[in-house]
Amino acid sequence: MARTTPSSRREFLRLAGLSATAAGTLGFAGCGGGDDKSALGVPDPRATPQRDRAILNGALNLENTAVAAYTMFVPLLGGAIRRRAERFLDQEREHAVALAGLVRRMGGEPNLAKPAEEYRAAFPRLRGEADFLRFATDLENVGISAYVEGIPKLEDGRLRQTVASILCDEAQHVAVLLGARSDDRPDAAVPEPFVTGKATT
Amino acid sequence: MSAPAPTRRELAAALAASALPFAGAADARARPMGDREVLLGLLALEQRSVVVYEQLLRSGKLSGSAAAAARLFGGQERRHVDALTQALLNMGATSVPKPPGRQDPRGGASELIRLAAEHEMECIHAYYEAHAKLRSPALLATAAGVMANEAQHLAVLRQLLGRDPTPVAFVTGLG
Repeated sequence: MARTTPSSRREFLRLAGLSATAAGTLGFAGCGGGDDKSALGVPDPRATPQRDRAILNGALNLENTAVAAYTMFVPLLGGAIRRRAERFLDQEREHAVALAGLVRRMGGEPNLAKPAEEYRAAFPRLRGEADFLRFATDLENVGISAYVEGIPKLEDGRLRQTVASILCDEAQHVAVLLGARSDDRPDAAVPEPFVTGKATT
Repeated sequence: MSAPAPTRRELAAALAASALPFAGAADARARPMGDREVLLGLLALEQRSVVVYEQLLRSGKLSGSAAAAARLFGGQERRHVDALTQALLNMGATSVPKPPGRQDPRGGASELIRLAAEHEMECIHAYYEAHAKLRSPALLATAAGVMANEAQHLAVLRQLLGRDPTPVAFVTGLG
């Protein structure tokens, strides 16, 4: 079992404005336990709505990164993989729109996507479909890991439901990507009974 | 399933031998009653999941990837059952529900796969609802991991049926 490459994980986290803890886990901005500072270096808001809003804004960063990645790499693909990637792109956009709407409704300012050049400079150079499948799997797993860790930190149950429904969509993306890398073998597509985003096959 | 329900001691002994992700026992004890009720509902569904995949395999109507998926998913559902059972024991439960009885599967391979997909939808929706009710962070994290696994099962089953594996951006188990 091969782990998601540390360098790509670090790069995704940097792009998404997230931090990797010493334990190698992810933390959304503003949801640190006893820390005074969030991953973004701003004070940890203690009041529940603000904290939930900060978590959603961290998720929005992840979705913006995913939108940038699929937008950049879909043109390199063909056939069935391209159709799947186009669908994933549409869905990542839907997630971003929904999260931005929630942040706005909670009285916050949704985080904006970075300039395309910044993403372009940070993403790896992909040489074909196999590279894309590996990269996209890593990207999705970073999101999954953050969502699994972020959900228990959300106080509002309805927000937990929304984030869980996004998590499940990302998990389905991973199953499709892993399946495409292995002639759709079920054991490769769904390798673990508890999806954490920490490992890929 | 015709086997008698295991006693609490048997369950505890069996589960102690395996590393299970519902390890947040102390955390779970903080608010046992509400969470316990939610877990009991989820456990009943997971037990039915095991039976559904056993039915698919016993039918003899699946082959190739479909049979491999049913075998794999059935094993993963068993892991969910073990984890939920362990969590309930950690919360002080003295008994867990008996697994449902076996039923004879009807229909061809496609119909059986569709049946499994519908059951996965039901499970996903139950976990979706549970996300609003569970209070323990450890249980929430595990429920999220299980719900995502059920969503992956659904994606693969949909592919086996020749359908779009990821038709919606927000997977709630409805629609």
